[in-house]
Amino acid sequence: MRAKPRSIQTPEQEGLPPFVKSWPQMYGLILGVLVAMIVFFYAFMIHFQ
Amino acid sequence: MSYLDWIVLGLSLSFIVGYGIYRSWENKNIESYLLANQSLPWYHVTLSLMATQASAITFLSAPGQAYTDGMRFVQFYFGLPLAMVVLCITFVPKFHKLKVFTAYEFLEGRFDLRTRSLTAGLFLLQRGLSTGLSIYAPSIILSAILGWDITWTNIISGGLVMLYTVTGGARAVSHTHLQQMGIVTLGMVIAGVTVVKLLPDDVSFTDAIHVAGKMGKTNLIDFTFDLNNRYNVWSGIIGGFFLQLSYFGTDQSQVGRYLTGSSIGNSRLGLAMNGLLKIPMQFLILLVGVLVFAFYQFTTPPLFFNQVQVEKVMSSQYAAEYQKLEDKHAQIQSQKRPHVLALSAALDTDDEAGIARERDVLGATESEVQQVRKEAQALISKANGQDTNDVNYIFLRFVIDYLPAGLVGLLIAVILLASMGSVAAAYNSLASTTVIDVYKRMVKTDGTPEHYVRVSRWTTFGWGIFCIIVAQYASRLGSMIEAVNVLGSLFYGVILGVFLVAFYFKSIGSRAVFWGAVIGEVFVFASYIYELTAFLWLNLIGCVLVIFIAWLLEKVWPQPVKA
Repeated sequence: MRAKPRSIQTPEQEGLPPFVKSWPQMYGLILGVLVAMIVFFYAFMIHFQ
Repeated sequence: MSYLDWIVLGLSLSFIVGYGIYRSWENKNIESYLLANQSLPWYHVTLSLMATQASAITFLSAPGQAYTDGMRFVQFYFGLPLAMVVLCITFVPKFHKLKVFTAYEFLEGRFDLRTRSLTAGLFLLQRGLSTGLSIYAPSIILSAILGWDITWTNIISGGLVMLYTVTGGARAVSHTHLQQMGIVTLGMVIAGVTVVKLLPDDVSFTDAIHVAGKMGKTNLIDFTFDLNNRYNVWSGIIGGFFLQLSYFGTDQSQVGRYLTGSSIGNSRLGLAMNGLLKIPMQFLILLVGVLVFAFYQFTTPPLFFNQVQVEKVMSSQYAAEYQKLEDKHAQIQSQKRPHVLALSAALDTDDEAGIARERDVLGATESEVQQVRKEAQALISKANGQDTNDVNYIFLRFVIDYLPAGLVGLLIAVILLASMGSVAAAYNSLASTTVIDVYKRMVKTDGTPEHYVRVSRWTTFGWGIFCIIVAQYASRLGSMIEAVNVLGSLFYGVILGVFLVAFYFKSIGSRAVFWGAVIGEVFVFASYIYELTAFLWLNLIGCVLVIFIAWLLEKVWPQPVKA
């Protein structure tokens, strides 16, 4: 079986992330989830302490 | 262990090794062997990144950490999502577009060959030694459980991985990571469910967390800015960011994982999903530890969780003294139990006064328990002269004592597989760096694809042997986690500094950055030898020093522009 050649990609071929329309939105989602997790952990701590 | 445990353990390990070897037939050239032809989807990249980072200690130590210190350790990972974003924006497009095999290869294009060689050399030194420690860490625990000589557990831990990384390369590493993470996740979920099932009938899952929470174990968030406090939100976000950026951005064992992505998008998505999943995963592992803590509020826990050390002290002149502490501990635990039940009942009826009263009583009793444990540890230290930290053994002791036949084998497999995941990525990255940055660049530049695959296999084999030999001597290095962190801290900061100069300081040339890195590394070593600062700060010091010295040298000793 021949090995597939390594692809050379243009920015248009780099692909878009799922769930959101662009990579900046994906990064915003990651940071938003981080903030949401910190809030959740704080609420969890207060509730069970 | 029962026969069923041995069967489960044997099947789990055989499946992973067999599957890894099966995937090795696809390797025809060096791109396939070292980068899996850059053909893997994002979920492979994500699980491979997670499996590389999660060592055996992650699954042994984290539940024990939650048991003794609460869940605050989760804050250590708060910088990871930020680091993933920076990597997606800066590192991934650069590495992909230049079609590099290793992170250090990029530095030759930006600077020169000697800067590339310097960083590659620092990586090989650091990763070669720390992989030996990664092999040794689960080996010593398995040796204690199974009663085997440490040499054999080292050979099994390191040797099993060699079987499929030598033949299969990056593709085998990535595919086995997928299966390993599946088995590891399954094992941890089953362990968590089993702890809840083992609780008394009238104690629910939330009751158990409430009980642990009232005793300070759900201390997930601390907003206080305190440089002496190892785990708080700020140290996690700031310190964790630098640590994770250097680990994922400049350590080939991680860079090699996301370079296998089939496109920039897949590599980015793999890192992004790691940023989303890592903290919840760590939270759940710590939650298992909290549940184990809650379980031991209704059942008397061992005074000291490392049974081997207990047996040693019981056969020493301190046996009678230790027995007295055991009796005292059992007595405190039996006095504590009615109060734990009363707290659980008060929680069910929302009796605020009852909750406050029982919490105070339990707080005082817990202090007594800790005091007895300290006395026991001091006695063990006096009798055996070593290893008085039993955090790594808490979860394992629980597994062995309370999990049903079959599950013990599965959990031992989880420990070994977690170790194998990180060691496999390390072997592969050591071979990539040796072959690409040294052999193919400086020794033989015109070899055939088959020649480089053959050399890569032999190099992987050689590094495997080297790491197992290091593991044999690792017991002389003291605390495992500290030894690994010290090794990383000695090199990561300087390497990160070189990469940050490459990305963000376009006016700085190769000569300045090379000498900046050399001077920075010498200063970092001197700081460590003369104990100028705690070793964790060496990451930041190394990084800042390289940038500053390189910038300064470029100003006072500018590099001549080539004609």
